[in-house]
Amino acid sequence: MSNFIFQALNGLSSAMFLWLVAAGLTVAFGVCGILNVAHGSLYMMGAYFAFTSFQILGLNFWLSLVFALIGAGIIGFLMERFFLRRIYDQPIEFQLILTFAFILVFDNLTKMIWGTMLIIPTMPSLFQGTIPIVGRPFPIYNLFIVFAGIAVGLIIWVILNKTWWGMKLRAAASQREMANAIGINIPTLFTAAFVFAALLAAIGGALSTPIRVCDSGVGGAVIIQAFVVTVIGGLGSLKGAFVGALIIGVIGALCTLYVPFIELFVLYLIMAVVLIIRPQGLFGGER
Amino acid sequence: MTGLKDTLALSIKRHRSQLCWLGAFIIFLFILPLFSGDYILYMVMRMAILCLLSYSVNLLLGNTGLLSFGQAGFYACGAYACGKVLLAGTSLLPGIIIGVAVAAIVAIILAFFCVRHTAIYFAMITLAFGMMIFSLAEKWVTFTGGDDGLIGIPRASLNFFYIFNIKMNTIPAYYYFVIVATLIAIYFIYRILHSPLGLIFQGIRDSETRVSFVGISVRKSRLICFTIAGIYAGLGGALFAPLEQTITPSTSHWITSADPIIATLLGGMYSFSGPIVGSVVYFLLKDIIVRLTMNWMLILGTIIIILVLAFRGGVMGAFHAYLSPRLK
Amino acid sequence: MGDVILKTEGLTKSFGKFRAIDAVDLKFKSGIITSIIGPNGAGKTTAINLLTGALHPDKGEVFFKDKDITSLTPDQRVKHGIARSFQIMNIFPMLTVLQNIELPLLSLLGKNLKWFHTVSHYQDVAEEAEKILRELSLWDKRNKVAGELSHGDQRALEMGMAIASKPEICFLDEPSSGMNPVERAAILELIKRLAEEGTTTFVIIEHDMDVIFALSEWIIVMNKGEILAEGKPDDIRQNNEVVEIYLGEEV
Repeated sequence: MSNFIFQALNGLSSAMFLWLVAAGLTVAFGVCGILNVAHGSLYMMGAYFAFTSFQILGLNFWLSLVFALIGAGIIGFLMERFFLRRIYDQPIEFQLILTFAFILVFDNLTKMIWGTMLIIPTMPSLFQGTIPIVGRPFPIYNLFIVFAGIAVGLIIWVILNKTWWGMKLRAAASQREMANAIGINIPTLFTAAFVFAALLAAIGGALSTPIRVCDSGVGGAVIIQAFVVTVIGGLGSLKGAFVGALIIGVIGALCTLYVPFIELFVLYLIMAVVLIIRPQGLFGGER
Repeated sequence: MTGLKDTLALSIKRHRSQLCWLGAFIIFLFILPLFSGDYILYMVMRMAILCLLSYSVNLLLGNTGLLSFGQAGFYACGAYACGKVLLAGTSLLPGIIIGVAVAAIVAIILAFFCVRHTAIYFAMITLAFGMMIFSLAEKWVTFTGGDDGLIGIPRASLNFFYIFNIKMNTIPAYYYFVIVATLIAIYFIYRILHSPLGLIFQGIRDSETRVSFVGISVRKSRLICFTIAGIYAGLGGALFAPLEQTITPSTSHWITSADPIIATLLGGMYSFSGPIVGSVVYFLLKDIIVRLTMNWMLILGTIIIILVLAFRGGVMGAFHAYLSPRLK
Repeated sequence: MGDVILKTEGLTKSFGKFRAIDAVDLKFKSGIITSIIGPNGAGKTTAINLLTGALHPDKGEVFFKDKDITSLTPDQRVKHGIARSFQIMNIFPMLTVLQNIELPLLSLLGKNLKWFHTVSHYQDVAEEAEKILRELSLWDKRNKVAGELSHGDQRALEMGMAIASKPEICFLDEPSSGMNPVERAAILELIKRLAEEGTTTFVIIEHDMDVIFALSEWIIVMNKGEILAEGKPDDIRQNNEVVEIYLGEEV
């Protein structure tokens, strides 16, 4: 039983990474209408930026996070401003293909810049050590991740519901033409929203470096899981992304413990079943 | 009712210049082994197989407006099924036919779940099914050989009811088989797309609501389209198994599904010869780029980005736009 | 002639909190050109959508010749003989005029699963298509891409597609919207001619009162999701409530 709890907690912490990427995916989709297949690559670049600044440049942990945010923010800005903006009105196939091309470009650039260097987990001294939970040592960092994930969720909630900018975002998300008509500058807003989405993914990647190995191919794996999460939670719903991430994270971790064989299959099966029975997911709108 | 002969005569008159090009192309394909080595023939065969996959994608995308990220699943079904049958010791045709049949059955079953949805959800559910097949291929080690896959698939000889028996172990011999099979398949797709069924597919792409209001069940038509697309992907896989003689789970990965999508985009989604042109161009591009540089993903990605932003109709679209003031 | 061929019982449909149609009992008699009029938001288009299968009612049934068709899909209803044209243009913009007409005919003549021969191979389809296009004066433009036709021609094509399935009852949703007086007169003529020559019962939704009173033999007035009044054109013209509803409207 303690195994179960322990593994479930593990699942909770890995869920937070999924939540961050899925949140970014959801913001990009909900506001800009872009389904960004390359969002996993943004996660990956966040990881690489953070790792480089922490490990190689010797900056402290928090500064390396900032570094990651800046790097990903710039990339997100360039992506949206010069490329994605041009295909907003085109059918979704073009979005998927364009963002898929970005995966190729980002993965390759990463390989070019960092070579085949792997990101090897290095725990910042601040978080070293464990806390006993159900009688077993549970890494402090993993607990930190859980809190960080929830904190980010709260920050997003505050931004969306309590700030002027957030209100504009929500207006643009639900009624683009009206928002335009009442004077909200849609293009700038979209760019800002997409950058915000990129930052979320990057934070996820950056926070993952102390406990996860990362290579230039991780973008592809992450995006698939993020898709599964958003499908379950409902495309365009942040609440759904959070719940979906929790479900997938915990189920995934429990599968690794009890039925490691078919973990991937179960994941996709859940995704398919949700799409068949309730395509709008748990919290998605009607479609 | 005009007979088949009259139909043929009418078609020939109508498309004379296109048929000339086609004829020259086919003749070129048939005499290619006379002056090319095995590697070039291998490449052309891979192009032909990609072409079948591209028609599979094109049928769904360019005609009923559905983007599938899971055609590789049917491709893998065809490949694994054919491989298992050939490993059991049969001749070539049973392997191919059973490969196609398995892909068709899987397509029919999955069709019921997939065609209820459109746009994003269709892309996602086909992705999910494709990856489920991938997981099965990876983990069901006793049946599929797991990560190592099926190895040592014999390139069985073409044994036609004991009337003739042609050995396929040389590349040129199998090349002719693949080319003939592909040309026949393309001919059938041509007939389908220009038939009432094809018109219905295009109508669905144009305006789905209107189609149901002319009395045609959109769902049934999509089921048929999905099944045909699955058959073509399965045929590609079945032809691939004896060629490569090894089948691994990566045949079912969504990244393999991306190849024909890009090829179709390159060649032009809305033209009939788009998949052919796109497959040839994409394959050549990939081959050349891989030889020149390690950074083929970067270059390929950049080319795709340029294409998506600049040319919506792909190569054929740009071609037509350039030529159309002069033609017709 | 004169029998009720399509009717509803207690038809109700809401969108969220907005009740668009409220327990409505519509009746349409065969052979009688009927119009449905009413201010915007009265529920006319919702009614058409419910009758043709585009929407599913929350409550109530739809009967076609005494058969309950409430659960039938739009394509099934077309096959039974219920067709419609659309207010917002709904032709196939990327197909040619001929192809637009061929589609309903393929369904009518049972050729929609044929996959080997070209469409023009089927003589019965080709002959019907020519007949209809000639009647609409669109035969010369048959190879033009439908999206490039003039507005009036597109509307005619739209109507042609609706009647091509040889329906027993055909709903025309604002057939003259967006037309200039010349086009409007032409459409009027067309509808009148089709009604006289064919066996289709037309039900027209319109705002243009000239069209309504020129064509209709029976008028149903809807308001706020209910039937306000129905009767012959003269009766409706003198109905005080109806006049009041339209007092603020530009007629």
